[in-house]
Amino acid sequence: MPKNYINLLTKKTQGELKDAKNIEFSSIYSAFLPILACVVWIGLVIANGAVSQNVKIEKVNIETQKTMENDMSVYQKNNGQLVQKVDILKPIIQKDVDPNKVFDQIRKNLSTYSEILSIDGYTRKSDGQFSFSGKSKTYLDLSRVIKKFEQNTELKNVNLKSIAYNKDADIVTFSVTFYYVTL
Amino acid sequence: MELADRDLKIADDVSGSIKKSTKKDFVDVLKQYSIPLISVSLFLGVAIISIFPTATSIFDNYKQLDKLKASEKTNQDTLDKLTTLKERDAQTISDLATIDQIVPSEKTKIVGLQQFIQDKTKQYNLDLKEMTIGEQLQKVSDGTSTTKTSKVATVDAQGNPIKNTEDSLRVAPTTAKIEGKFADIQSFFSDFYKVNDLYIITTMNLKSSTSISPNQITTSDAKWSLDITFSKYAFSEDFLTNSVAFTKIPISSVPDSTVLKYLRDRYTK
Repeated sequence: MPKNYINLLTKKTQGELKDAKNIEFSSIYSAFLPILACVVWIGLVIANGAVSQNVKIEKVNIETQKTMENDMSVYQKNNGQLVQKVDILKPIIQKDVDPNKVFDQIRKNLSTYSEILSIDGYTRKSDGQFSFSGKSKTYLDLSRVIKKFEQNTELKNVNLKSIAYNKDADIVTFSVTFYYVTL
Repeated sequence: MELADRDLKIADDVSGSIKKSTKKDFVDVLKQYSIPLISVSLFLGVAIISIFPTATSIFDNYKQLDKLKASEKTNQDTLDKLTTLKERDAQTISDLATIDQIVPSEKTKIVGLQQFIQDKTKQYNLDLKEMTIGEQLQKVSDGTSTTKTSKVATVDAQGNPIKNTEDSLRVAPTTAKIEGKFADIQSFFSDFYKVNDLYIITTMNLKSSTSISPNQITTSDAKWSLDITFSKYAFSEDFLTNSVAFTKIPISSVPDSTVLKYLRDRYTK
């Protein structure tokens, strides 16, 4: 513009100058945004790496555990076999009773009544139930015998299965059933 | 005229100057906002392309890590139980050997009681009236062979059905009719229970020709007649070869201690 000219254009106001300055500062600050983003990203990548490392470690641990489990599965199999076999054998073992023990129990319980009672048979059924049959002089004696059998803890489910009075012989015939406790 | 021309020229210059100024302002504004725009764009770009996927990946990995840790804990519990089983495996094998000795496989030749009964009846002056040796194994029909299936999964890890092991036992019955004195029959039973093998007296019918006082039974000369059935049990081949069922028993399961104690006391020599 020639020197002699008068500049009629208005100068920037203080406000406009301040705004321009603010914009300049904003520009400078905004330049940090990508840097900030990169820093955050790098931080996240590091954190992710750490978590991933832990995941890898856990996977290796689990793999090791699985291998150990496989190696030790034979013990599980042995235990399972024993558990099953014992379960299967339990009802059979419960029937494993020496008849002499049963004879002794009966004799022991009847010893005080040997003058008034007599025995003529012993039986065992396939469900494990024992019984003995005999003769008694009176019903009263028989009821005492039954009570004594019921008090015996080695016997359970004691029942007077049959009872009959023979008028000609004046004798009571009876049959007592029970189970012998094993296991 | 000169003045008018000069004014006109000034006006043209001002007008040109205003136009230039407007263009310059626009460039300035563009310059001023370009950095923030680029910065924000870069920030958003980095955020969308890198930060969000990485953050998502972290959350996924955390979730996976939690699952893996839970799985590791479960596995550790299993390993602890397996270690306990390993520690008592020697006893388990010993118990299994005892069971296999008294309850063999159905393929094993079952040695009957024939010789024992013949020898002992002779030894105790008993009269062996009749004997039927059970060498033919039969299915057990009284329900004793039923396995507790509730403890066993019905399918294996691959989803294949596990064989049912309900027919796990076979039985070979031996029947005999013996006559003799009560004391001799007692001696026979006494020796029978010393045999290191599992024979169950399934049925028995011991009858006397006369009624005898309890205190005189063992001393009486009265003849007793004994009808007896001994049962020898064997595990079915189907059961023994079904090893998948054994591994499906929970690790925490323990064999019935009372049965084990009985077996150890009676059959472990």
